Amino acid sequence: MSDPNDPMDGVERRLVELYRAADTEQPSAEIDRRILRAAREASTARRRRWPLAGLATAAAAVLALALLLRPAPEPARPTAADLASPAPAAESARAPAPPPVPSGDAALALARSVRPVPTPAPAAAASYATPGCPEPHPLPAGAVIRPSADGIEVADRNGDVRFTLRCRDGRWEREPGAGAAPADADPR
Amino acid sequence: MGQRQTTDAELMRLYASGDQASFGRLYERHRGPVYRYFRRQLPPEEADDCFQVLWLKLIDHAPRYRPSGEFRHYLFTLAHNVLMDHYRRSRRRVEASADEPASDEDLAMELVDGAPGPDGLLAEAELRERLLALIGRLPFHQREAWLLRHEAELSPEAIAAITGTSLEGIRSRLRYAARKLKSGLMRHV
Repeated sequence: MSDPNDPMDGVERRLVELYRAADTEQPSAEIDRRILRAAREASTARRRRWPLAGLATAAAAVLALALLLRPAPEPARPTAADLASPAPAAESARAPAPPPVPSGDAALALARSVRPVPTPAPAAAASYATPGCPEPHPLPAGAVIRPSADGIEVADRNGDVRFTLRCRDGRWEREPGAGAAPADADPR
Repeated sequence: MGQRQTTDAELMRLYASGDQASFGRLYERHRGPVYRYFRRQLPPEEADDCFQVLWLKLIDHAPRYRPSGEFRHYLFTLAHNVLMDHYRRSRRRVEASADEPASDEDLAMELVDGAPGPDGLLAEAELRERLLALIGRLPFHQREAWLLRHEAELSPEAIAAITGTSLEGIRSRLRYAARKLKSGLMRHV
């Protein structure tokens, strides 16, 4: 390390050489051991603390992310029944998801008991479907449906039954009712 | 072909990230100069204590260490602070450093108990002992400046920063310290 402002003459250089040769004192082996052990222990202690701190940070990050990505609640879609006779919103919200599809009479019984499944339908006409007959059956505008002995009755605003719908082997059967109009004949 | 030597700052970073062997290498590089810095200014037991306190501080500071200059500068700043704390705790007075040259009489007095041999010359080993004794008798500030310069191999600028003294003040201390040591030894060389 040379400094132009700090020149050393020959005697001073000799002095420094003499000092370096003279003073070679070192710490004792015991002190060396103590310091190296302290360094090891501190390093190990730091490593033990890190996983805990890391886990806590990761958990907090996941929680924050989950809160950020939580989807906004969607408004419930109206069902065919809702279109026909509006039900209270709370009741509609409480409606359970349809169970797995059974077959035969059980399916029929189930078709009577379950609420209609919402189906994508043209805006002008409502439709009706059940787990047993998932293909939506179109309903006249303003139709009122009510359960019958073996299916549903579809009535007009005056309460006259226009036709009855039955689900048989996955297909809809339609039978004209007492108040049937010519247009209520089964289109199929 | 020699490998590039890992710098002190890299060793500190490696140690802070859990590599214990890096601390061993760092310690091996600096243990001697740091020990002698304390030992030339304190009795053996006190030097041992200060030396250990310094390294424990360094171990503690390792995760927060940010290299902003020479590691040796950082290390001897810590060492200087440990020494000052020790002086404060032991209520020992740091004698004022008269930044004036000592008279030849002063130097003669310092050497009075080191009688030269019959031919007026000291053997090399005696010369070394005499030098260490002379260093020990320098005023505190001159002695510390001289040790930081020639033991720690720090620049006068770094010594000024460590001790909170002006650069000119440090140059002055170094000049007077060197002059006293030379005068003290040249009588016998």
